[in-house]
Amino acid sequence: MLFNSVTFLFYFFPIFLIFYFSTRGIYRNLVLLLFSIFFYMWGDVSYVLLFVFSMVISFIGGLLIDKFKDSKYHFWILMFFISIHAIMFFKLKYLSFVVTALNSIVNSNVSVQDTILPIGISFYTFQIISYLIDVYNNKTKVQHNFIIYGSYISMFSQLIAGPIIRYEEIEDDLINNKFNLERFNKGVHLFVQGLFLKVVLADSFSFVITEIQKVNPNDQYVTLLWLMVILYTLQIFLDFNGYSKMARGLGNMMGYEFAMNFNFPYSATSVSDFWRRWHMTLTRWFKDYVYIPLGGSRGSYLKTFRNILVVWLFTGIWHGAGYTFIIWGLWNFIWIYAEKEMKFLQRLPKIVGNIYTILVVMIGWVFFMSPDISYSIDVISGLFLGNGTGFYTPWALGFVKQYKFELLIALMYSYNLFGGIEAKLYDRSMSIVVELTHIFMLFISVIYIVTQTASPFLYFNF
Amino acid sequence: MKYSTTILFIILIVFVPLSSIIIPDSDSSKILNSNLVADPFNANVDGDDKSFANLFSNFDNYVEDQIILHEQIFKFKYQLDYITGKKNTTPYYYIPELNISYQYDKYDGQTSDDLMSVDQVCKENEVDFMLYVAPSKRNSIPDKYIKEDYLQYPKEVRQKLIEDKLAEFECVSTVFNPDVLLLNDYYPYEHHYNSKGVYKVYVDLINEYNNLYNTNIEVVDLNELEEITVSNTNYVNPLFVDDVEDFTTEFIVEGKDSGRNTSPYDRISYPREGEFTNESGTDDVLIITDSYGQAMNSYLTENFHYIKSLNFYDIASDANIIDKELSDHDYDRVIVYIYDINLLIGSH
Repeated sequence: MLFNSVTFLFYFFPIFLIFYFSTRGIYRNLVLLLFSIFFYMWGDVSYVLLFVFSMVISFIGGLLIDKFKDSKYHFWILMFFISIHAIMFFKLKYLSFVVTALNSIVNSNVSVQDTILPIGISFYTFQIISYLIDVYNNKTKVQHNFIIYGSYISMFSQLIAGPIIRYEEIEDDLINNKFNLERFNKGVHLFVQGLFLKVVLADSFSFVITEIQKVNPNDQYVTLLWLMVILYTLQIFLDFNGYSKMARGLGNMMGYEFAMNFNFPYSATSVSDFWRRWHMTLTRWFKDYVYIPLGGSRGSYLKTFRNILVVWLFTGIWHGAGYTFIIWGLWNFIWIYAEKEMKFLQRLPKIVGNIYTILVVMIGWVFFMSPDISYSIDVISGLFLGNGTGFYTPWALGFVKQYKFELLIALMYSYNLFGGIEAKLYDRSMSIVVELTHIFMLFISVIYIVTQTASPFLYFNF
Repeated sequence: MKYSTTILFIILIVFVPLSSIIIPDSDSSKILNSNLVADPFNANVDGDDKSFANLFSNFDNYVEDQIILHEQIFKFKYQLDYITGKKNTTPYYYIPELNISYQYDKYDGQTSDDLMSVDQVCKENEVDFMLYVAPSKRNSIPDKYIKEDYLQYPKEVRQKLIEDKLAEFECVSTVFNPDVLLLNDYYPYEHHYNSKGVYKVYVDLINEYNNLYNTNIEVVDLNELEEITVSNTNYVNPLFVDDVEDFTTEFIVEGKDSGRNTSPYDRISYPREGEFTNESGTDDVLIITDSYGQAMNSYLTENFHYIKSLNFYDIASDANIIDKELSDHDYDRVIVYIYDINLLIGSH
């Protein structure tokens, strides 16, 4: 069930709110847990038992890690429970890819049954691991009540696409949840913004991208290839940011405050700056649970190199089991490491720095969006070297003309030219203009939702 | 004012589901929805599959159709698309039992008017005008034609529409086979990745041409055409995966001569507009059709002495183009091939 579906917006969510706010204390958590499991079932019935198993086993893991905190086995208990989740995650997401890769290397023919990736497994597995490590490190208190813990892991608002929330961030709200009108109001505004970004802007670009992708990139016009990459660059941001905003908005409505996931990344002036603004909760997770435990940048030159490389390899494969994602991770590593070594790249004039960043990021998205490496190479060579088909076709201008309003709004939003509307949500004297704009956005979004079959969320498969 | 968005949001998420239960459907909605999923808890999407997934999927479809003011919302979205310049975007309802798509009115009757103009110009130049109408996979019907009298005879609706319209072209040699029009699976493979459907149209067109003008043109044997195998289907739109078997043995249909090359699809199985000559043919023809119809060009060039192929949209953009063509070249016939009834009845 997607947030931008009729079923969620007009049936699931209102019914949930009625039950949620008519209960208190632990019963409210129970409502959240049951509705979240039902929400998960709607999208993926086959893996609901695995999902519940993950919650139960990690709950037990947290209790045991806490119970044996003075034991010499403390570390190994942590490793045991992390391993359970890591193995499940690996088997379901990477085993098929790894076996296929090994088959091609050693020329064998080992077969593995293809599995469908459980929805949201990358997100909830990371939340579980962060909880277990934080309990181990005494950074958070262990939760003794399964209903409260289960409602944290399964919370439908961020279950399938993040943000990746730490237990300690919402512990107080989980235990003592109260209706907060101000927070609810802010949540509605965030949700409406996210809905608009997703259904009106991102999904519109998806149509054009699909049309352009129908043709092999070797046979495609250069202008259409550029248009495809530019639109994908906008689409992935608007889609993911839109969904994250909806998640945060829903969280606010339920009385929670989730961490921001995006901070206008396309206005970044370096690749490092971009990654401080893009999918911030994932970047933070890798920094805290991989980069720093490995030693961060405090070790030798080689160790720092290794640590950054490991983080970006993991970041790449977290997004998908495929060579294209590995290359995408390495592509980011190269530029981030280059910026670390050549400081001038981070001190370029703002406009130059932004153009350089956008170009690097856009080429990265080519790998990200491609079904295989040869497709990526075809697109990139077409973009910069051209191909035999030609440069310009009136179709390119035709597409731009058709989506001129969406493009204009998307570009202005991406560069934060609307003056930080989100910041104004915290302003008690919220202006009439902001209210009217959000009412208009809600109205238009509902029109789009009703007239379109819900478009799958891009980050669904990660 | 501060909470107005929130109040509206609450009203919306509470009012919409309640209203779909309380407020009865309009008559037109009843007609349109009568063939959609009536009971999500008993209908199956995939055969006998009564799994939870199927139930959820049915429920999604059901609630989407039950939204209050569904029809008005579609109309509004259509108007919005039109205002913002998305002229090629059309909302559809698919009505399975009627096997038609319900399409809201478009904005002009340009093609219909153009055909009348072509008819007039041909008369002035004393050139035969052959209008060939054939069925297609796309069966969308503008909403102005979705009336109860048509819905009572759904299978005949397209035939009726075309017959009504063709009555306006009395003096034109019109080829129209109402029987094949009713066979929904007659040309099931018409899309830009496969030209098999259009080969069948081509065969019919040549046969009708022979009948009308007492010629003896032999159709091109399909087996003589070069066959290509597409090994990589990664880039194929999933929409066409069902046809993948036919896709993998596709026939080259690109024009033999270079012409305008403005479509991003040109490099797949898309023909080009242009001029084609073949010394073994006798008749000179001007053919006017759309992108799908142009897929016939590689077959037609085997049969005719000279072919000039134009797109419908060329006529729409330049009213004098036919006149100019007929002055520049001594044609025997002008053939207009239409497969999409919307082109004929004025929705495109």
